[in-house]
Amino acid sequence: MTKTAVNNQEKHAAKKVALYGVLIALAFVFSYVEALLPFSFAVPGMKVGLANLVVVAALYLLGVRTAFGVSVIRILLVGFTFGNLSTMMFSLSGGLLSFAVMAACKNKALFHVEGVSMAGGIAHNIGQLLVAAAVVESAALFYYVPVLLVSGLITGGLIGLVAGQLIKRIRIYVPR
Amino acid sequence: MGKKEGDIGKNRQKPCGEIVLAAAVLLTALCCWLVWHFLHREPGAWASVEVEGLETARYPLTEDCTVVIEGYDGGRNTLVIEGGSVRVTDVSCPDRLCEKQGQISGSGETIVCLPNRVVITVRGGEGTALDGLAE
Repeated sequence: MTKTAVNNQEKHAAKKVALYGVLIALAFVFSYVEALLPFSFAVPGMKVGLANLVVVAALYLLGVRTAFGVSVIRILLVGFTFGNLSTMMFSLSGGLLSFAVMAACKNKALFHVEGVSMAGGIAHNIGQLLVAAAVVESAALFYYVPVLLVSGLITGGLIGLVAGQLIKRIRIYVPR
Repeated sequence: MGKKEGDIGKNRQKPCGEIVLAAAVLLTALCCWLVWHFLHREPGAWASVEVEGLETARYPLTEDCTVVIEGYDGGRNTLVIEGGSVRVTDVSCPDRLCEKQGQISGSGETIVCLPNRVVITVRGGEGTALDGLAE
């Protein structure tokens, strides 16, 4: 390997680290902003999921691995900063299921960004519900399934619409 | 720039899975809701309080009362029974989701407080046979 090649590689790595940092910081701030929102819904686990905007954009612009990293690190950081172990567990279960579904949907090319995000939103709610039902050891929670399905669809769809516009506009500035 | 827009334009022509997904989800939600609605129409007879999956108390809906429920990790919920319906008024946690879940009175309806791991379910009434089997 020549010296310039090594240099380039180092530059590339540094660029990547910086990009990861910015994305995680952005997702982190979105989580914080969402926690500041004055309204909350009557159903446990129901929220807008602003941070998912970053994850969806990263999934399309930078690939599965980067998006996964952003998603998991964001959840861990937010959990340690604002939450506790149990809120982190809920976020993680929702986040991981949502990510798996989004990555699968994107690979199969069944959907546009909006559809992928919708599927992710629904999966997120279902994942949280499953863990919540396990925590309170009660099947009574499944009473919320219809509400959570519809809310996941709507919030996921909205995030997907915004992410679609975002991806279209920032694509040219993002290094592959 | 033109090429990038072309990319997205090409994407747009693929079949719209979104609509199928949305329709399927809405239909599923509607079915769940209908099934639940028809199973639990009758007014219940008592409120069952579960903490971490164990039933800790039962209160008849016929008697008005106010009780404090001790939940997980020292959390508290105040349960109010008034005129045959149940609601939660005072909670120790910051998000107060269980207060927002409002009043319940039909058999099978629930109020859930996740931080305190408390589940309040209305039981009994006409559909008791079904509930009895399940228990």
